[in-house]
Amino acid sequence: MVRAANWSSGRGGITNERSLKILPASERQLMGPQRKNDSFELIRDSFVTAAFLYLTKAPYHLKRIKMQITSSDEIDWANVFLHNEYIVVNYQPSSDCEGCKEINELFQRLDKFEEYRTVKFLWVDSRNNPIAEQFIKKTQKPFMAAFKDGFLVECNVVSTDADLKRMILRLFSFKFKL
Amino acid sequence: MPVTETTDAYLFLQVAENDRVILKYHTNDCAEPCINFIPIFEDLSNDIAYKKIVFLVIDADNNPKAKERILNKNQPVITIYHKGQLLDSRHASTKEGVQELLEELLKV
Repeated sequence: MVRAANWSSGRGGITNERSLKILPASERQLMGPQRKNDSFELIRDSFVTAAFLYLTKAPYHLKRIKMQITSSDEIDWANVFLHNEYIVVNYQPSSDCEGCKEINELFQRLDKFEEYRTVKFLWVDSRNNPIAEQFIKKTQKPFMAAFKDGFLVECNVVSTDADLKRMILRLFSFKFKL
Repeated sequence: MPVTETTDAYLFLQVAENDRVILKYHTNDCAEPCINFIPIFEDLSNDIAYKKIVFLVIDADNNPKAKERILNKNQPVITIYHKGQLLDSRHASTKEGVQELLEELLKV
């Protein structure tokens, strides 16, 4: 005999092993530890729940697991500006360009660096922005833009990793006179 | 050169493509000071002394942070760019205030 809550009817009560076996697994999990296996399941489920809560309540830790670079042709700029102090936009051309592959690889890695955790990295497909596409075709180099507090701080072709890091450093150090 | 309206999706390309750019962040919510400033900015854009400078205007209604800065002082925000880089940013509601920025931009 084990004590368990009867969740389906909302009443607490006494039940036995036999009655437990015919309950659906979902209901069994809601009851207290019945056996050694149940204890294990309870600990496992608690761990999974705790991990889930930890991840969902701590965006940075979530960010470390899930890359935050967004591939999007329609950006909700108002929302992006509102929620991010620093934004770096990388325009991805439809065709390959000189240095694009290297810069794109670095761009994805930067998202995981502790020092850049305050930066929102956006990866935008320029095919849906004809002017951006035309510009990249003309320059044949990766193109990026950096924003601070909703204001454009810099936009330029970025050919090397040093260029990109310099752009971010400048973004951090820029002070408005407003 | 006439004032060109731009949007967030195209702003950085216009800034990147032109050596010298002056940009006005505007919102109708700041009412009189912003509205009164429209002809001043337009007059300056037609001034031959500033023909090397591209005049842009952007509606800050889709940019909550920029809008907040405008409404803090109830004046438009002016930013100047040289070769894709932001050089200076200020609130401005007078012709003299903008001319100061334009002169700064011509010196670089």
